[in-house]
Amino acid sequence: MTSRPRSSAERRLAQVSRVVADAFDAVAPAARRALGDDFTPWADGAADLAEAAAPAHGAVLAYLHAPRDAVASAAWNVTALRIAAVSGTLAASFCEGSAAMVGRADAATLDAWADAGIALRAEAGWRGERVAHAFFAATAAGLHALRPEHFVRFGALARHLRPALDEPLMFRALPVEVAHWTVDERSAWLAGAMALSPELAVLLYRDVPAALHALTPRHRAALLDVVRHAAAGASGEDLAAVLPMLGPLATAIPPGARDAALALATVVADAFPAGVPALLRTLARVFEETTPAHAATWTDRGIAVGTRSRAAGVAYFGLASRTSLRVLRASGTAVTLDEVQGGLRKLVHMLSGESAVPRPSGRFQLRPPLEESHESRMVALPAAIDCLDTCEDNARLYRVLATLLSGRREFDTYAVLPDVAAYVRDAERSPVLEDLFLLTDGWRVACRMGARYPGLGADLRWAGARLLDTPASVFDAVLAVALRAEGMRGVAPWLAATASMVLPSLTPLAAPDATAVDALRIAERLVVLFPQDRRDVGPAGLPELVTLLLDADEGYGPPASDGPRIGAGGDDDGEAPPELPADLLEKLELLVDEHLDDAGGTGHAMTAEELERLLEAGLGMQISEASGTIAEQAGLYVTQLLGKRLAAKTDPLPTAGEPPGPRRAATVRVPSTDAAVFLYDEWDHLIGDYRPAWCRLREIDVAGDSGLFFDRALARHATLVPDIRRCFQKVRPEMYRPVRNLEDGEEFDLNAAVEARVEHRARRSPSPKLYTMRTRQERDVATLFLLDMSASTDETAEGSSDRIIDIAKDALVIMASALEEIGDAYAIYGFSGQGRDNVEVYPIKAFGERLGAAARSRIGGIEPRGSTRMGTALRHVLGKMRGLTAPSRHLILLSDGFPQDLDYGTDRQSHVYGIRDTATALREVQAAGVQPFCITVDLAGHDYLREMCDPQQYLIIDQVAALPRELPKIYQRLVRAA
Amino acid sequence: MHDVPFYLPVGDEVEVFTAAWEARLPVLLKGPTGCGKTRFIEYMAATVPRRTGGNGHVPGHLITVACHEDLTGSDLIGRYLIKGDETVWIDGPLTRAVRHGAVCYLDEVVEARKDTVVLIHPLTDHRRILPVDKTGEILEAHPDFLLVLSYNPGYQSVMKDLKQSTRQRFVALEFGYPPRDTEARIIAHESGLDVEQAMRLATLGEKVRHLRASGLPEGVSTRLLVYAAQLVRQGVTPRRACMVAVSRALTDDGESARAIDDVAAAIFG
Repeated sequence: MTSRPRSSAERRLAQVSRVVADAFDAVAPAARRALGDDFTPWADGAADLAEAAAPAHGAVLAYLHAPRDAVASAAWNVTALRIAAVSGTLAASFCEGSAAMVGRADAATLDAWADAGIALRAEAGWRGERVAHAFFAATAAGLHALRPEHFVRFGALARHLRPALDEPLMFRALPVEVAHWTVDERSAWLAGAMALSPELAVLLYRDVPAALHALTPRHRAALLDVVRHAAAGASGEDLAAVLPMLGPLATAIPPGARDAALALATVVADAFPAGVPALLRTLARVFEETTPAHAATWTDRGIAVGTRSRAAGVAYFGLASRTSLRVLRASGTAVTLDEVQGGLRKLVHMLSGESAVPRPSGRFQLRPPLEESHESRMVALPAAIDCLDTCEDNARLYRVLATLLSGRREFDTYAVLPDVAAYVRDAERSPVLEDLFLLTDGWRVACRMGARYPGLGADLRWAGARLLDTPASVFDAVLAVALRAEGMRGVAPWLAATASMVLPSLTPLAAPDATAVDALRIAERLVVLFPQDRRDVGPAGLPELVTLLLDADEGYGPPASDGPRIGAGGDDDGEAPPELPADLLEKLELLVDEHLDDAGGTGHAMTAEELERLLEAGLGMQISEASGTIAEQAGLYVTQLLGKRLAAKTDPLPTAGEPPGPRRAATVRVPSTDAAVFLYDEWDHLIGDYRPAWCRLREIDVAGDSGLFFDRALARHATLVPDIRRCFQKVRPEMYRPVRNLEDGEEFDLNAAVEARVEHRARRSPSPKLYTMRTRQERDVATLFLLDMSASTDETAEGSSDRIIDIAKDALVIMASALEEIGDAYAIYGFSGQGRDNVEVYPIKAFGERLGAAARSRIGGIEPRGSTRMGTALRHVLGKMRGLTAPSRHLILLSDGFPQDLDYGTDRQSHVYGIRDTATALREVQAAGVQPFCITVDLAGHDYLREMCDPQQYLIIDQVAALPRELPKIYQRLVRAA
Repeated sequence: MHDVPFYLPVGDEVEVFTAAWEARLPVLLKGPTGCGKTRFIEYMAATVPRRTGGNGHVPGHLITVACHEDLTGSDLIGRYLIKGDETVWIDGPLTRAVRHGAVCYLDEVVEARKDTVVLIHPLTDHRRILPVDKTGEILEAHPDFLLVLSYNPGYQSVMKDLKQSTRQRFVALEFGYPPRDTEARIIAHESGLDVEQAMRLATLGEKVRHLRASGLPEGVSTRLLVYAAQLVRQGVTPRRACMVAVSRALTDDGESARAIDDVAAAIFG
């Protein structure tokens, strides 16, 4: 046996390392066969690499085991040699990472990758070697996801992110989603991350790609571009809050409007980047409430606002300023809740017999959302309706919604199912259960309302007919079909199919004795037709399906004799229900059998043609593959029809009155749900506009103290009270004043009678004015005392052992006693709260109410509470004075300090926001014909009171203890001056 | 001979009033406007048994005085008038009722001046007398005299309220708006409208009264519903009749009026 002479390459490899030579010997025969004449250059390449990378063997070992492609290997070898010249171990990482890509990745990509690694090593200082190793180790799998031009940026991004994310972690976090992106998208993504601060860039780099999965490449690129531009001006905090939500926010925009919406976002990003985070949050709502053309107008106005004031622009694009909402809703046909809420509140109150406060609930839908609590006095209505052609029609829709909401109360939805909202929203239940319950109970209520109020039937039919073309969801569309009572005539096949499945189940709900429990039961059974949640599918849900499939030809109209009617069954001029073709019926029966069996039937999958025929026939159904459980197969579910005509259902975005969660979550106290709720705008001096529906105020009953405090206060001021009363009696008007020379009256006026007698004797015509009468002279003054019940009034007053609040209560006791004496109308309210969602007003004594035991005990029950959100409280009590006819009306504000609340302005260190809002509220009070007057015991009061009102409209009491004595004097002076 | 007015009892008010009449106890009727207080007293005055069998001086055995804030004692008791060369005493409505025996009904008595209301005190206790200062008479009440007051607690305020010394001289009957079925019968009877339409009007009344707590100072009265029914009977469409006789009559607030119109539209179509 003769040994083969060793080649040059073998000798060189043996000199480098025995291990390398052995490895070469092991692969050489196979390589020789694969490469043929190219074997020698390949072997020389191995030797070159071994020598260059020595003493590290990793590179050459990877080379020896890489795919044998002569051309690719040569190019790869050149690149590896370039790295080996820098670092042998780094060349090993390169070769080990990219060996699998030889022949698959082009030379330019490998070169760019290598360059990026070399650059990282050079630029990362002493950490360079480690970073570069991590780069090659972690990103090899992503080679196909990045283009040569991306590697430099990618490396640069690693350096950019380093303060927030260590490079190795960053490399490993390369999202797999970007592999499917276009070059433009990747470019926009990397450029966007580079434009952001490291912390935000990490969010965009690591988390956003997965969130954008549902978008088209064009929309993704546009959105990423918007983010990049926004980085130039938006606050980091705002961007950080919106970045993780980019995907859901974008998908919430109706698909048909996404192009226009993102185009507008791009415009805003260029012109006013600070407004982009707010805009991204509200885009969906904007496009739900208005047309693309009007949205563009709205955007232009917002840019103009933002150019003048950044804060105002941010509020504008967040729909958090009155101007923004007005411009948005300045449609010729839109009707806003603000415009009609007063009338709707009264309508609901009259029909249901219970007071109601409308709350904005996002977009319009025919099935208004449920209230969380059955004790809630709120009714959810859309912020605006603009889906019909005229104002009158949109206003009529509001009335239809209001009557349906009244019907829920009148026909006991909440009485029978107090926790129905929590029940249907339970995460353990099907996500469509709430929608279905709104449909089934909505139909029940509509039937009952139609039967009780004959005039409503026409409104409901009208709404159904008008909304058929523009329903907010598939469930709305089904309800519209039911309400319009014209059968399936003119109904799109997809909707006819859906309606045909659902409507027969609603028949029992038209009965006069149907309850919300029945509606819920049927909704739960219908869930099987909409099985996003597969757990809900089972034999228990089938009877309705069976009813539908097998009895569909029996007609499906119930109905109430004089209410709206479902479907064609009961309508003479409606079309007959679509007839199911025999072959399809047979197939459906098989499917039902299979479903009941749940063990894999013998039916055959429906073909596309069969499916099409079925839909055309007007019958939808659940369709599965031939084997396996029906629920696990990719059947056609009704919800999959959504894409045919409708936008995917999305949760309504927060309205202006309900800004996003995190900030609102900061509120501390949960108010009682049975208190009436009022929404008030608030003036924001930073944006120079009102923030609409910004504060929630509740009237809270004060627990009394049985009148003990009142009696003790009178006793404590036993010497003062008589003085005050005496003083007030002096201003009490003379009750009766004699008036003479009347033709009719109580008494003869003797002088006039004598005169008349003389005239009579003289045969002259006497005057008939012989009587005298006493007439009453009235005072007509009304005053409201508004007491600051903030926690600071719990402190002991300077120069006294009593708390500030107790001294103020003493003053009110004395004042009330004196006013009872004089008979002037007066009311007392307290206010406090915590945060803009929790402003509280405490009625102590209303106008016209007697100072009886209840009012006395409530004065005693006044105690310090929370903060001092004065503006909202002022706006609320102003409403108490609007109905008064007294020509002289006064509002006296008693406080111990400046307006302050935990979110009264963004800067908690500054009181300017609260002061300006209070000043605006005081001006509103004055504009309403009520004279405001502020009394404070805060010695520093001049500092802010002079900003809030005119000097003659406030007074600072140096000695708190003097308040009981001073208040009546102030009152007299005010009333006299008026 | 006067016809007995139509009155449909809601509770036991007829029995209680009859008992008070037998005992000659003054009666205070409380209730919102248009709920039937005046009709009730007309009915009772015409039906209660009289001890003297009536003397024809007072038609219907009832004298009604609509009180107002300028009502003086002279307006109730009487005054001297100059007639030619002499002064002539003319009895006021209260004196006439006391003298001839009739039910004297002071409607909305809280509107009257307080010094006027005090005049009735001697008539409302065991004395049953009416001092007439100007003539020097002290009139003893006729056996068939009874004083009845009415007022609307809804109008009550600090300035307008009955003194306790006055209140505690009366037995009080409280009135409210009748239940829907009863009100429908009343409307149908008073207007001649069919019962179904009357029932719808009564439903409207019931709904509108819910607004009393928020928006309307008073609920719609049965009287207004009867007016609406009479308009319908004359050929006016129900919605228009409700507009002119209910919503526009009830309030000047456009928002409230429109809301009432909406309810009327829902009920009548």
